[in-house]
Amino acid sequence: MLAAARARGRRALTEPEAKAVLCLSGIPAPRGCVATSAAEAGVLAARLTPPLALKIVSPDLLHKSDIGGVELHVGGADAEAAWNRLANRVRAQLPGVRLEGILIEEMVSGGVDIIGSVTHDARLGPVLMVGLGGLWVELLRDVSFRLVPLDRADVVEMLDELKGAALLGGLRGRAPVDREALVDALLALSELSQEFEEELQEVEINPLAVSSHGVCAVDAVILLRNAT
Amino acid sequence: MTPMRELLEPDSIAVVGASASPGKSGYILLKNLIDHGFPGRLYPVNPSADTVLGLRAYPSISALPEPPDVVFIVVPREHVLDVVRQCETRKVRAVVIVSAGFAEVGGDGAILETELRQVLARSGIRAIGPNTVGFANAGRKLVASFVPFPRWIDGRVALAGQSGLFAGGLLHELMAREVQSPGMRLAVSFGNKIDLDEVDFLDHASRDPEIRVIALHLESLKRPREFFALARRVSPRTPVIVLKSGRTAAGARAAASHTGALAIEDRVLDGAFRQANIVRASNVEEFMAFIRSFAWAPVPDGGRIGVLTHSGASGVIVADEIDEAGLRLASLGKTTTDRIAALLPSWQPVGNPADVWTGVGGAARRLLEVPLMALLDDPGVDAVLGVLLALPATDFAELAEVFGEARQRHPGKPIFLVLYGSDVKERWLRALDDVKIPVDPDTRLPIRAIRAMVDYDRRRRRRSTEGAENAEAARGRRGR
Repeated sequence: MLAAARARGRRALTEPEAKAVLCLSGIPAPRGCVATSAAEAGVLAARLTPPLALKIVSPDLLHKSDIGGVELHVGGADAEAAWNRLANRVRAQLPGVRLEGILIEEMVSGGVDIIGSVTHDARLGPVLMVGLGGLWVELLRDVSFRLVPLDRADVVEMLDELKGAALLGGLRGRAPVDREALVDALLALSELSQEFEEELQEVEINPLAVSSHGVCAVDAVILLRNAT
Repeated sequence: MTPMRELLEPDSIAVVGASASPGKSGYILLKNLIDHGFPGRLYPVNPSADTVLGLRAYPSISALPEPPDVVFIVVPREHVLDVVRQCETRKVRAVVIVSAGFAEVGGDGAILETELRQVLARSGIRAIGPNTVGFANAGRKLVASFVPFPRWIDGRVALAGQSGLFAGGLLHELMAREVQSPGMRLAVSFGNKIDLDEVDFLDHASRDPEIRVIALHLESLKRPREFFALARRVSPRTPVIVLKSGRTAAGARAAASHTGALAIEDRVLDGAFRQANIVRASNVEEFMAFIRSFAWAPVPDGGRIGVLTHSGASGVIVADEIDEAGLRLASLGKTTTDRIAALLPSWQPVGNPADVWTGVGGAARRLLEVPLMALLDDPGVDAVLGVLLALPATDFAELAEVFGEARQRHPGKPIFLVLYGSDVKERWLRALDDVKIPVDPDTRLPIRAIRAMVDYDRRRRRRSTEGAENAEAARGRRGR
């Protein structure tokens, strides 16, 4: 895992690589696999529960949705065709792009979206940021910060500080989320960043879907620090 | 000997740039040292004087009969490097560079400071400054500053300032006050922080059992990571209060040009302050109020406030402010309301705030003592806030007695006062000073102080109970 994290000369890990790192740290990701061909996509899809998400895997692409590199709500039977559609679309838009494959994942529904990220600050070291995903963060800047290392009490306090904290308790008929699992995941993120402080520039899980059943890292980006 | 101790506890001091002309920095610095009774050996260094302030003066560091423990440098900036080199030759261990015109002015000054830093590093001499107003260590009768201090009040507070004049101005005001001054055990102005900084200060102050409150005014953080890690360890035992300026973009730019340091985003800093359980003051007023409150009053067990007032209107204002601060007006028990009711006309309802306006004009001891003790005795009350008129016909000895006894009977419940009045207010304040009751001109300050204390205590307790065992349990859950 360490070797995977230290891919020399690369700025970032691919999504499946990032998710593998997170899984090893104790943060679950959706069930899924990388299909390197349309046929493979069909086979893999049969083993998963739809609806499925198909996402381009490329070391050259960090923001897949910007160039239409994502297809959602794909049915099992449609996986093969979707693979081709996606691959062609991306190759048409970015001819030189290195396509390692397409990640086929089970979609996660329900729950509250959280953003959890650790960024390496030159002066403070790793800094953990937590916020409620989407508009809460972008528009309202409803986020909390703490320095790594931190403990359980710190994480709980961070969550309580969020203006939208009530969402975690369940709103409009939703069951309250599994706070323990959320706290565990954020602590795991913090420990990961501490253990690999030299290598990691940023680890962002957005969204980290949190429900009454637990947590799931739906999308993740890991940026590596520049080799000096 | 930690580096700060070397500087703060010298047996001998030399002042390079000591002046015989009153009004000059080199004069005032030496005068302060003499007037406040520094018991060690003092050496003015001035090539053009035989004596300064009655002490034999020497032409240079090399001419001194012994290497001084600490050298204060009060010469124009272009001579500073030379003096430091002389100190190196003489094996001086620490210097305080009062001279200004270094990194804080940018350009040539910044270049000069870089050179100075290199010389200091090579020589191993520890330094405070440049651009510092000096420091005071009350425990050693050591007041070393070019800001004139007619007197110095000892106490339980350690204060670190960064920017020269501000730190001096703040202290000057505090020491000039006749009343409501918390007293400083230790005050250090770090100036440009070329060497020793807030981490060294925090470390030193936290080891002194005489120091009960550590306060810092910071414009920048030189070693933020170490600072927060250390503060986190210190704060459970000793409250750390910080005024950090430069929180807005404009302020940050001003700070950067002033100190030459890069700013950290304030929201991130805020998170770090909470994590370390540092009490953060929003402005100078709050900073002073928090320092005094933490130095004089006990931290309450909770945020339920009992209010005693001479004015029903004040009571309403206070009720709003308490609510806005996220605190609560305590629910009073029947015993409490009965005791207070006995003093008032039968038609006046008793509640919280307890309105004892009938006390105005009478000034009988009972009218203050009974409601005050009733509130404090109530188990549902964690803290008492009195909003009172400073009544002229007051027996001041009795006043001190009443509050003194209140404090004795309830050592764990803080009492805060807001006083209105003019002529007699001074006398009220003097009487209250003896029993260390914080008095503020405005109700918002004590309410914020109580809020700060409640947050501080809550974090401190949560950390001590939810410590290692939870970490272990979590690890087990993750299956590591």
